[in-house]
Order: sequence, then C-alpha cells, then structure tokens
Amino acid sequence: MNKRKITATMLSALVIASFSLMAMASGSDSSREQEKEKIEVRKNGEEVSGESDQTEPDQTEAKKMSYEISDTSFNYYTDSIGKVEYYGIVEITNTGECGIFLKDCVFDLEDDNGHLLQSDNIISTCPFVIAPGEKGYFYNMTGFIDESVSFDNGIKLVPNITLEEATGADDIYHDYEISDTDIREGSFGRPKVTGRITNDTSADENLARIYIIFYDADGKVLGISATYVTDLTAGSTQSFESEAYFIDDNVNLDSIADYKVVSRPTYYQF
Amino acid sequence: MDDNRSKLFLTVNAFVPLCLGLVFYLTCQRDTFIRSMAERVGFSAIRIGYPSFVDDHACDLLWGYALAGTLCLVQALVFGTDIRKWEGLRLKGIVILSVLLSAVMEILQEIGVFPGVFDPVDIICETIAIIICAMVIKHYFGRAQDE
Repeated sequence: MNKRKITATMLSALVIASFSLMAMASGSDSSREQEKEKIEVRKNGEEVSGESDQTEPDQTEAKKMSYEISDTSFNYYTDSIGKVEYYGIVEITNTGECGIFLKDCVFDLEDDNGHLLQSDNIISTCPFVIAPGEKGYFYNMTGFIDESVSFDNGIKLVPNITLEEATGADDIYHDYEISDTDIREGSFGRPKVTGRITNDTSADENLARIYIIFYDADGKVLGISATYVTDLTAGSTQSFESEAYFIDDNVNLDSIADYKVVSRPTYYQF
Repeated sequence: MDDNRSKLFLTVNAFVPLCLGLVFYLTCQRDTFIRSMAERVGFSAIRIGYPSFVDDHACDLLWGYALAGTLCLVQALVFGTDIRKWEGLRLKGIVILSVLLSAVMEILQEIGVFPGVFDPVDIICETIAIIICAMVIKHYFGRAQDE
C-alpha cells in the first residue's frame, strides 16, 4: 500500500471516529422523547439495579413546555401476611415556561427483558398542576404485586406519563394557606402530620386535597401521603391529619429531615 | 478548474453542515451536550422552537451530509481533486461506507452501547443526505472536468 493510500486511510478512519463520537455525544442528550422510562429498583431497601433515562423535554409547536424526570424511586417488599407490596414515585420538574397539567400515569411493572408483568393505572398525582420551576409527583404508596407475578427475571417500574400544558388561569397554582403543622408518631407506628388549612381565596372548595411530601436529609422524597377536607368554603379554616407512607419500610420519624404540605384548588382539564 | 477552488468547495461542503448542526444544537429547545458544554464556558444561546421534523431529523441530515463531504475532502487532499484518480475510497465507496456507518451507529444505540434512541428514520435521513452530498460533488466535479 503506497504512502498516500495509508495517509488517506488513516485520515478517513479519523473522520469516521470523529463522526462516531459526534453521534454519541448528540445521542446522550438529544435522544428523542421516550415513551417509557426505566427507573431504579430497590428491594427491601437495597438497590438491586439502576437504569435511569431522563425523558427529553417535551415540546409542542409554538409552546414552550419542558419537563424533566428529576427523581424516581421504586421499592417492593413482602409484608407480614406474605403479600408483595410496592411503592413508586416519579418526580416531575417543570423546566419550561408554561404550567404543566399532570394528566395521567400508568405504572407498568416489567422484567429485565421488557416483558410486562403487571400494569397499574390507579396512580395518584400531587399536585394536579405545576408552575415553571415547581415539582410534581406521580405516585403509588400502596401498590400490590399479584401473587402470580414471577420475579425470576427481575422486576422494574416503567412509568408511562401523560403531561399537558396547563391552560387554566394563574390561580390554579395558588396554594391554600397551611398552618399549625406538626409531625409525631402515629398510633400504628407511622409518623402522622397534623395541621390546619385555610381557604384564602374567594371560591368555595368542595374537596380540598392535602398532600404531605416527606424528605430525607439529602432532599430525596421518602414518601407522599394524602388526605382531604370537604366543603372548605372561602375564608374558612379546617384541621387535618394524615399518616405517612414511605418508599422504604425501614423509614421512621427519625428518617424524616423535612416535610412539605401542599394543597391547591382542584383542577382538571380535558 | 483551479485545484484550490475545488478544495475550497469541498471544505465548505464538509464544514457548512457541521456548523449548521452546531448552531442547531446550541439553539434547539431541548438540552444538549453541546449546549451544556457551551454554558460551562459562559456562552448561552436563545432557544428556538423548531418544527418537529426539523427538530427530530435536521441533525441526522446534516451529520450524514457532513460525513460524506468530509470523507470526500480527505480523498481530495490526498489524491487531488480529480475524483477519477482517487484511490481506495471513491465516491461510491464513500457513500456505501457512510451509509454503513450510520446503520451501525443506530444499531449500537439499539443495543445500548451508545446512548440514544433507535429510529430507522434516522438511517433513511442520513442515507438521503449522504447520497445528496455525493450527487453534489459528482455534479460539481463533472462540471469542473467539462470546463
């Protein structure tokens, strides 16, 4: 092979390598929106496997909706009566310029081969809408895994989320006033949060949902619990209490570094 | 035709799509590796909401075109601008090699070696761009040889 051919071959190889690196680098961030996301799996508090892909910011024409799956957790364990329970939390951060309506989520449980083991479409939302910069959650703190589900090929939670640009007025992001909150040991050994909610708007609320988000010392969500009050008329105050549910059965009052109470007017869009 | 003019043409042909791709990654709505690198050195660009087809496939087209163009430039720099005298990789070989590379990259994404999402439309877009590049070069040098 003459010298020129060798030079051409080497330069061509260099070009190919450069373009391959370019494709790799662009693929790492610019992968198009994935419909499913594989998330961390923990069994009885120990991390089993982890594969987390951030879903790419969604965008619609002429709208600047953008979000990030900023945290996800999944854990399952066998309870005292032999049933397998699971907890799952998906944290959505609104990184865009418009509000996001957390419309729907389905938790698919899949094995390591992607085979569907179980599908759970009763997933809670907290809150229904998030303003730019805010975080929202899809979660299930009381899930059950069917007895017939096989764990031989592993198990992981794959959330299928549906988000929309929120079309309501700015008052949909208003949080009711929460006061006099306290956290203590509950009657069943679970931490319990108590407090008062005041409807500081001019509109009556038939059913005010109250969410309590618990965090560990690193700011990671340990669990979410929810309660509600009814007939919260404009200007009125009611009391509430709620027992905590956590992502890990070993979590107790001492594990909670912080908690946040969130309550917004009920909002839906179709 | 002037040899320097031909090399300039090939250089522009290879680097313009690369520059356009760079601008796209800096200005598109989603967060990209290039944008994050640029922001680290204090550079920030506006975000533009490109139409969805452009957003999904513009970079594939530009990548494919630039790949074929750069390989042609390499051949021209080593063997001269008469494409009939290129050794090893001729225009047809460049097209085949580029298409194969694009397919391999997608397959590697599919099996998880590289990050990204497998999309056969990417291969189609890249192939189209590679063929267009080859046609442009063939047309240009065909015309050049007629002068």
